[in-house]
Amino acid sequence: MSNYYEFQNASKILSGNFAIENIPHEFKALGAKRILILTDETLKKIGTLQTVIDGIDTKEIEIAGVFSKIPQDSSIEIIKEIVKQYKELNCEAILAVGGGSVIDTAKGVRMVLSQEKEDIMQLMGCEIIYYGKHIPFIAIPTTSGTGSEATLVAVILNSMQNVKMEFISYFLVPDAAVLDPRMTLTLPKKITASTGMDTLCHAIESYTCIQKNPMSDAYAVAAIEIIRENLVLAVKNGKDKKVRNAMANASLMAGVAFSNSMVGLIHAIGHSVGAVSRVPHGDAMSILMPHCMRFNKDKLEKEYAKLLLYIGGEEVYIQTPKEQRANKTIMCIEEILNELNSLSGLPTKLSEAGVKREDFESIAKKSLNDGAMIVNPKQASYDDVMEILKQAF
Amino acid sequence: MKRSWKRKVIVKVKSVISKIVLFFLYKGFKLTYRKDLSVKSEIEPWKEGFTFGINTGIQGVNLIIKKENGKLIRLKEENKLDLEIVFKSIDVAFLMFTGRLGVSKAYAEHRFILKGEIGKAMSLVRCIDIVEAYLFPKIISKRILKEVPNKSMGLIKTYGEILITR
Ligand SMILES: [Fe+2]
Repeated sequence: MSNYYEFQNASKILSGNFAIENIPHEFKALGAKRILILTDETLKKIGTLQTVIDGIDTKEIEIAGVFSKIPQDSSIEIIKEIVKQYKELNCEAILAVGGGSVIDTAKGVRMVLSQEKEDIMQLMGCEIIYYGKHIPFIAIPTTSGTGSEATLVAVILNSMQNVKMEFISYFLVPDAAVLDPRMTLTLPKKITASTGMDTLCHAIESYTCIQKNPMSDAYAVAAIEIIRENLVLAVKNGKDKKVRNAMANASLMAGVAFSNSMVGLIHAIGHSVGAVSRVPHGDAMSILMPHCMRFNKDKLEKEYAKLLLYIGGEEVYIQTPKEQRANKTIMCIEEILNELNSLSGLPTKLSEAGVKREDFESIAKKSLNDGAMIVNPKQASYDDVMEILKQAF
Repeated sequence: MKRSWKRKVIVKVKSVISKIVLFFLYKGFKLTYRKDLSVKSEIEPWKEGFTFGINTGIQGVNLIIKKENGKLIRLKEENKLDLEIVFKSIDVAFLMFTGRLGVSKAYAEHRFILKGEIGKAMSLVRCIDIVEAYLFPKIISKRILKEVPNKSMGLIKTYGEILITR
């Protein structure tokens, strides 16, 4: 066990049937009446937003406004625009309805409002944001993957300098995370598979990075178990509320785990594959996971072996000899990947995901400067990353 | 009630030793920037005027390095830093400076806060790792670094160079 660790899971969790209908009460408890909803156009079009509004439009709260123009990448400009609207409409709280980019944007808006700083660049870094003014903030994730509703990180694009700025602070975490199965029922098969693999990746990396601790371990293994039992089912039958709710829980738990123990090599390379070759995050995670795990294996034999119990189940664990368990863990993940590939077309190779060989160099360079690299248990050099990319191609 | 004299002495001792280590860290940066290819290739892309600081939270026990005219110089004070590591306590800074805690681990344990762009911080962390490998005997480096880098000179030569060059 590590000599020292820090852990926080500050969000209240509302999970299950009619969770959305309890939101007005939560805002009331947080002392807010006028709320601003942040979401994206797709969710508005497919009716997800309407479901939320039907659930919360009561006399306890006032929906002061809906901002639905949030793009794929949260950016400073959008945040400024939303802050302006928030102030003009005299809002008192934020409700984010969406995936990672909506929730990250909401974190950014809340950060600017609570820190009362004009220049967001001054807040860039790790743990330099303090409590500030409390802006009540509730998040409803509409994908089961990023876990952003429970993490202390916000990634925001600085389009002027074309860099992704990272903000890390315990005070970015929403006051409450609402997991309502209705929010993910319409997720297409491929996105369900891809975001589910991202969740698995969060759990595995948080269990194996240098700041693993007993608390984050507990969240990580619980998430892995839920994923084993539910991910394939969620792809097969997306209308199953029980299964969807389970995956939403896994996503949040894995989010709590990696928010506290951080993610490593798979994310470091995956972020760069996303930035350079525009591969969706979950797809990059799925493809890179087995290769990065093989790279890390000599340092993580014990941890991977233990994970077999959760990813493979009791029978598989007992039947696999001790010295083969770590390998078997990786094989189980490959089996899941292949099954998801045939069910949903989730890519299993970089070449299938649109990555070109000529992208490798810039991907590898970028990966080394990714914040996730520092907590990976094994040092990875430029050449190591190039080798992993070749294997995954 | 105030802190005991014993604690005051401990803080003083840790501060003095940290100050000495920071001097060698600065010299180590300068030396490896000239003599170590990896450090050179890390620092080369830093923009002219790039300034970073390591702050222990104790007045006067800090290190500010600026890249100026292709050289690294030490500043006494600077308000606008591009990157700053601020330790939450002198005790942990001391652990790091005496080779008992690696910078990656210190980061993972939330032992310091980081002001600035995290990508740049990664480059700095790699440099600190290499400089430490030059300054500490291998037995220590092996414990605090994930991988001991190849060095262009040994421990004795490193300190020799540091002490003779200004
Ligand atoms: Fe992820």
